[in-house]
Amino acid sequence: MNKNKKKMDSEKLVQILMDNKALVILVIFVLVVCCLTNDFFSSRNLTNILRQICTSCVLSLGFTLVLSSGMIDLSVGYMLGMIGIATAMMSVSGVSAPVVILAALVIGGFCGFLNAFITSMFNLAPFIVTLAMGMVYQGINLLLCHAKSIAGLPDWYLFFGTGKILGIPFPVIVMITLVVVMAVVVQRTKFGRYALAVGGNKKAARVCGIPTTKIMYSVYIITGVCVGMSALLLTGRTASAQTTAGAGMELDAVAAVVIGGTPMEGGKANVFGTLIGCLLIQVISNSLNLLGVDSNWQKIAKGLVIIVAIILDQQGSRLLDKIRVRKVAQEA
Amino acid sequence: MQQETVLEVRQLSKRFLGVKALDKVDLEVKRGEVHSVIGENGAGKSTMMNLILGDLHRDEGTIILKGEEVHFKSPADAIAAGISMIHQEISLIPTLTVAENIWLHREDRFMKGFLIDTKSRLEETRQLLKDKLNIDINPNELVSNLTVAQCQLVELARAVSCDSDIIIMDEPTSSLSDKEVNILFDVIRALKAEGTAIIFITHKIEELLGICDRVSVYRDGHYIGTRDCKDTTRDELIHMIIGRELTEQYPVIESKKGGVVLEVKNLCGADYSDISFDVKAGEIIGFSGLVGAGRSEIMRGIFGIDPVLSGEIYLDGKRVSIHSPKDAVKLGMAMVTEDRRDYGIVKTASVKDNMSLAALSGFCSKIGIIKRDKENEAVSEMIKSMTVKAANKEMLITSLSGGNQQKAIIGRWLMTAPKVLILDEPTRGIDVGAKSEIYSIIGNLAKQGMAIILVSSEMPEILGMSDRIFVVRNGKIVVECAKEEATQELLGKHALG
Repeated sequence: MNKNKKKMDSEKLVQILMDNKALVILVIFVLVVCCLTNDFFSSRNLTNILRQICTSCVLSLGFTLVLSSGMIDLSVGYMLGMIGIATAMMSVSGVSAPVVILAALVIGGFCGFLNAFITSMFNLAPFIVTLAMGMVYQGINLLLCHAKSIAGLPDWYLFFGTGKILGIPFPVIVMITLVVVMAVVVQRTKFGRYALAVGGNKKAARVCGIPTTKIMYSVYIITGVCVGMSALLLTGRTASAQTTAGAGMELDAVAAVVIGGTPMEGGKANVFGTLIGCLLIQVISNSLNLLGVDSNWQKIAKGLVIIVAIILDQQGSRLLDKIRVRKVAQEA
Repeated sequence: MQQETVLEVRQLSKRFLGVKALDKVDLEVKRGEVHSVIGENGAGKSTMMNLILGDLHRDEGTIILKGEEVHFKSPADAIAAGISMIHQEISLIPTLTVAENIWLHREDRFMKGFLIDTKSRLEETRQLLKDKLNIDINPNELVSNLTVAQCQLVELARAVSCDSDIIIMDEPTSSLSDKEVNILFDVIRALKAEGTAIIFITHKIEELLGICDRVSVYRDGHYIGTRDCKDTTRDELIHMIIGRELTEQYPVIESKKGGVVLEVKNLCGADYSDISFDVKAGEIIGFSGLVGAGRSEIMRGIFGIDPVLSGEIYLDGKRVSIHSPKDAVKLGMAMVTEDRRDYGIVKTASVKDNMSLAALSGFCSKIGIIKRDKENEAVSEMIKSMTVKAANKEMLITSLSGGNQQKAIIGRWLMTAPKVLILDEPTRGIDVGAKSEIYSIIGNLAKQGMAIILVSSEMPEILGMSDRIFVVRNGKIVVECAKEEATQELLGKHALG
């Protein structure tokens, strides 16, 4: 009986480790970095890390929803850049804050709607549609600002990047709020359950009476809105809009989401894991910076850590299966 | 007549990480015999076949092929040594043609230098299909354009083309209609006459008694015994398979018939036309016919899965329009689809999430937040009343056996409290025990006043369960008859035309 209980504990332990593997890797990584440098735990450095992940995390939240619904959105990077440029131009020319903020979210939502519309109307693969739309947005970026950055943003815009409320950076507040909202949406609402069902098996979901097309539109529109929010945070932080802003961020988002425990295949989501995944990727760059590692080597290290995370995921699942099988055998 | 033993399995054991899947089982197959292997799901049949083929590695025991002990490392070794297998799940590559699939990995014989001589391959395939097997399939057709039954026949052709001493067939008739089953049986007889031994895995006892010479029974990883088919009876085999007598497979249903709930008038779709029928409250109507006759397509049309071209559907006397399953569910209809894997379960979701999926709106607040207590309670209740054997409702649905998955899916629909329940092949690929449980569930639902439409390829099931029976052929209802006047012969005659 006692032994049985112990086995059950080991199953639970592995399960918990598996569900939070990004957190486990993060803790290990931080411990190693702490041994090598003293600068990591300075409050300035920690705040810096937090502020830096806000953009990628808000973007990745939308990406978590897209991936878990069995779709993909490769247009988010350039979409982010485009919204940044558009809103920067608006604000510089004197458009009021609420209008610009609303515009950022509406443009994002509309871009998401376009992705869904083209995909479902012509029954195309989201991969290629969103990839192509990303190219379109990149072109628009270049047309809008002729390869020059747009600076001189008003103070309210800079508040999105650097403002503080009660000593807490404003973007961090936005990020934490959105993480909580997204977690509730995915785990506790009918929409979230339907989205996961569509991701797990679209045909079965349709037979169950789930409006799969409507779910798809909603998922892309929500993702677009997240991109809009993310664009405000990024542009506010860098204090200028550049054509290269957001480039490649869709792939960072994929990495963060998958490390966080949301599978590429869809059907499952781990919103909290996405936050940790973003944190992990940022901590890697940050600590390598502190250690004075060349930025090219940093990229290599980042890639390797992602691979290790995914190998651990797979091995962990196998270990869990083994423990379960042994448990069943013991009971029998 | 003394026949030579071609394959002998002695005291074979296999553990999966501590769990004994096979415990010292035996099997002896003679040259030129059709030997049936039978047992419930989980009895160890597939494990034994995988050990013989070298797909898995045995813990103990010996396998003797043509007098020599063998240790296959992979199925390729087994094929080279003269054993091939037709898997239950189709293993053809859909983007290749029939001929390419049949000779896949064995192109050597058609090689001209570095290139494949496609003409001679085509010719040989044509001979194989037409002359030897009498199957009417174009060798140049893409496999993706074939029906499930045709794919099964192509698999058969591939196995035959290997010139094996032993062919293992895993439930080869599960998606075949009677006509194709006859083709299969003709091929089996021809192979037998040439001295090929056939291991025939099946769930259908009537079928094996018709074609097989001997039958070996397995239960829970143990070998129970072998019988000569001409000396045994159905009841003896059932007793051996489940370890107890199965007195009444089909329940006696005494339900009170109410008014007409669903009426379909002149429904036309891509694969059927002019379909008219009605079903009353508390009534079970059966749809019989060959696979591919259009029965599933009719049901998919009624339920809004596929579009219909014309026709009228009335529910409780009111005309309704159904454009998607969402409309059908809203109107109080439910459908357990034929293909559980593609159109039934969400394999990434738990038992609970799968079961509450169709009725989820009922557990939500106005703004769409799920009330978890309510959901948990309803699911637990349904698991109990459907006798779904699940250790925990948070487990993945794929961890359940096929029969329990099916009960969970039926439970999913009962949670919506439907007026009309459509069951398309509800017992396909399910073992004897779970089958009779599903039959009694269907019976109880009819007693409670549900209108039930049962589509099945198994005639005994249709005859045993239905109040009225419709036979579909080539997309048309060819006959309607009451339970009392229906016989296998009558249904069979109309199904074939």
